[in-house]
Amino acid sequence: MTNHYERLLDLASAAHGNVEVFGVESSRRHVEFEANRPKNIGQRQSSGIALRIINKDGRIGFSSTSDAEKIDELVDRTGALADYGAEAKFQFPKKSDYPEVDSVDDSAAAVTDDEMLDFGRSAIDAILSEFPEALCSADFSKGDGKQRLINSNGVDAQHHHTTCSFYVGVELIRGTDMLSVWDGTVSTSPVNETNVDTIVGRLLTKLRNSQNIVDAPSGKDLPVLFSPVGFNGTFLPPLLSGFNGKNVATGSSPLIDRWGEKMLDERITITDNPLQPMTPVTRPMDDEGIPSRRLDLVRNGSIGEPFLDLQTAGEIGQVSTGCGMRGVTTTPSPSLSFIMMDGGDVPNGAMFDGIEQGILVEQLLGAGQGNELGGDFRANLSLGFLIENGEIVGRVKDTMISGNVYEALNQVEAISQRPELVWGTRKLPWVRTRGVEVATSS
Amino acid sequence: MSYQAQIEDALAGNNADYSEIRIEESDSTRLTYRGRSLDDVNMTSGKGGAVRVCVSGSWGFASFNELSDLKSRVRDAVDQARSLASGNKDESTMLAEVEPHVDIVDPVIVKDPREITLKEKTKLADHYNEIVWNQPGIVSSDIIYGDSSQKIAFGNSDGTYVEQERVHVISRISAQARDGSDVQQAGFSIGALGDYGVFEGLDDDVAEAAKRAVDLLDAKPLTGGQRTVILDPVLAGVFVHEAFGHLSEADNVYENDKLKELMYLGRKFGGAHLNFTDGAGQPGMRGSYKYDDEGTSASLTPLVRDGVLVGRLHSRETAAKTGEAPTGNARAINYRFPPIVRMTNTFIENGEATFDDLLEGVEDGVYVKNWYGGMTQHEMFTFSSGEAYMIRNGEVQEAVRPVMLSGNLFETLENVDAVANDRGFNQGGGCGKGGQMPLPVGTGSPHIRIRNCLISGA
Repeated sequence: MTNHYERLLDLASAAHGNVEVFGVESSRRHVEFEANRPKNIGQRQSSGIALRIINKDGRIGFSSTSDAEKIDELVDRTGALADYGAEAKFQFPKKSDYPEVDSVDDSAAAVTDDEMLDFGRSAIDAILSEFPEALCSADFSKGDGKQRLINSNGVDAQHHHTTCSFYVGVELIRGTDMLSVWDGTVSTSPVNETNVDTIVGRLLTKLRNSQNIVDAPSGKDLPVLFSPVGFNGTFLPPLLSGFNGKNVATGSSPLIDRWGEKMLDERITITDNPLQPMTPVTRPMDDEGIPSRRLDLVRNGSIGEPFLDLQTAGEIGQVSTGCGMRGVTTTPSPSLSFIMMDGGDVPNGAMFDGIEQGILVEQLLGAGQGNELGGDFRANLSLGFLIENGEIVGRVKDTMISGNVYEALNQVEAISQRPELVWGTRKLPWVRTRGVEVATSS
Repeated sequence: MSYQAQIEDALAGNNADYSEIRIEESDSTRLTYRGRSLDDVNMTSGKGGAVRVCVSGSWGFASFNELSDLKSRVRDAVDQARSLASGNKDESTMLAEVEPHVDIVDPVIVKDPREITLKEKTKLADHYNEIVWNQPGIVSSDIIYGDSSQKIAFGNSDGTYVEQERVHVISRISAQARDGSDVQQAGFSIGALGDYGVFEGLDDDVAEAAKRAVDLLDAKPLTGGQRTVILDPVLAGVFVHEAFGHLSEADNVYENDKLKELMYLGRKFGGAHLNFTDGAGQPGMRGSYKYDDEGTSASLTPLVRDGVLVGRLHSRETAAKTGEAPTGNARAINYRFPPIVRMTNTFIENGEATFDDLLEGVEDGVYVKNWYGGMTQHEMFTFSSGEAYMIRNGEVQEAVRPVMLSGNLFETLENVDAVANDRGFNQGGGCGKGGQMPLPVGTGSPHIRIRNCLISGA
């Protein structure tokens, strides 16, 4: 569909004036393991194109297609939709310079099925050698994506990235207890032995720590330690929903009128940086053609700034923060990229020290079902551990955690020095806090 | 060339054990209101295809938007499967026998959303939004309306060729109230197969949801712990889907000997009042169809009868490998994915008790209604209510903050001690599995009571 961009822009601007064409072309190939064996090799070729216009009454029209024969239909259809569309609170941006940032590893394309299969086999063999009764699944993939945005103000923003990912899941059943652990990463570069070893090492540690099942304590004043993965799942969704331009614009964010106010522990600093090179979410510009920049979300416990696309920025009288993201079938909405939280002063290996009795949160089940907008979180611990006297003594089951992010992140006891990568798109430390309610049926 | 001819031509002469092609055309319309105004109107049309082949038990799959050279897509997929098969020498292709069908299936249409103008749809959604905002104390609202049509042509190397079209209508309406940093929301979801009518006549429901959001600001949160809970038909439907349905999907079991030992047919899970069923053969629901995405006829599968596990859900591969009959539960959300074992419409059959019988003798419990979400990981599950009310001395009393319920299949089903006789249906849900979401599903259940159910604090 790449050869249709200019033609569609010309046709659409002749009809509607202010227009924007956005399209993607991507491919992905992956090998999949099920029940310890290779099961499927899959590939996906995907393309689509979208037209957005601001009509003469200042209303937005949008439609898209993945059918090359229907591209011309977009012009009339989008015009008809604009009669009912939202009032545009913005103009399409003008041409600007974009920062240069690396997001492509040329060696990704050369990765073969056999290489991916070999990594999968060796990861699974390493797990089976210690846990022969385990059932492993795995997925190794390589992909390539190109997107382009052109508008009637002369913007031509192109972005290319490679994406390689892998994932390993392990299942162990003993009696009626079913244990599932999983881990993996996403990167612009091919999988290598080091990152497979790291992930396998983390999985083995989780499996070893899960061999005893113990009763969890309950209450509201236990120290609760969050691994980077646990922190990501528990706290980021309810916290970040308050910064989302959509919630700010509608008035449902609890952060309205509180920008600059200290609401969290002063050791907490969280930024979003789309210009961090060679991550799967690196981008020189957003999907509306606005140059990317770093955002200070939380600085020393104080609430920084919301993340905005063009429309939400216009609604609250600000400028876009370069966070308008979309797939080809949807209009842009505010979204973050590479989220980093600063480390604290406790060595990563010492985060268990001094915990007489507490809980370690690793994996959650059912997070996001609560009232996230208000900062609430609650979830079942799909993988959680009991800590006694600074050591993991076993896995806890049938245990739920709940609380409010603004309360829990004001009762922080310790933050680890070194943040760790989570799924290639976050870098987060270990965090120990109180103010999390633990409920259990045991 | 017709899709049938294109598919037959592309499949001819390949040397895989099994091969299939799906070609899909789709159109969708979506309205999104955020706050006082319409935020987004979106129409998308799609066209794409998928090839799936099996060689000696190994699979190759490809999805694409470029449909011009189907034959080379088949060749590539066969090469992919063959290269895997060379390393999997002890495997063989096992697929349950299915009678080949050639059929063109008309869509189920009650009131076709495609014949309703955008003007009418936005007018009605505007009207509902106004009802929300007429409620004092509301700070924001979200209304989503969507309709979609999916036309799928499917052919395989066994001689099946089926064309099916399905039209779906969904909506979610929710309202938010705020007091300082305390934000509460209430809402509901609906859906129907081929019936715009489900989006009409919702004035009372909308008004009630808006009022509930404001009232929640004064509702007290519960302390986490174990309690007796009574689930309304909507939430009980989510419960059977999450707590039992997922573990009855045979792809969890067929290569997992340990799980097979736990989930053996004949195992008792609870009292004789437990009777669960799943099936796309139940007509007119969002999870209903005539053939699944492998061309197998839909059925109604008894899963639990009198508290005993009697069946599970299958694709052709899981059926063959467990030696059970195929049930027509292989579904793909669209052409970008291979079909996997999924639920369709999942039911708890009526019991004999009345709702009052369920309340009787409950000294300190919670009546939970409506759903917010749910998730399963093997035997563990959680699901959230949209509403919760205290029960004291057998009476439903004041509203409390909605709760999340959590449990373990093997214990919780034994703790279901009463099933009422007032089955209701819900079609507002979408199910996610293996990256494929939201897949249209339906549920149906009467009120049920669970003793010692773990609920979260809020």
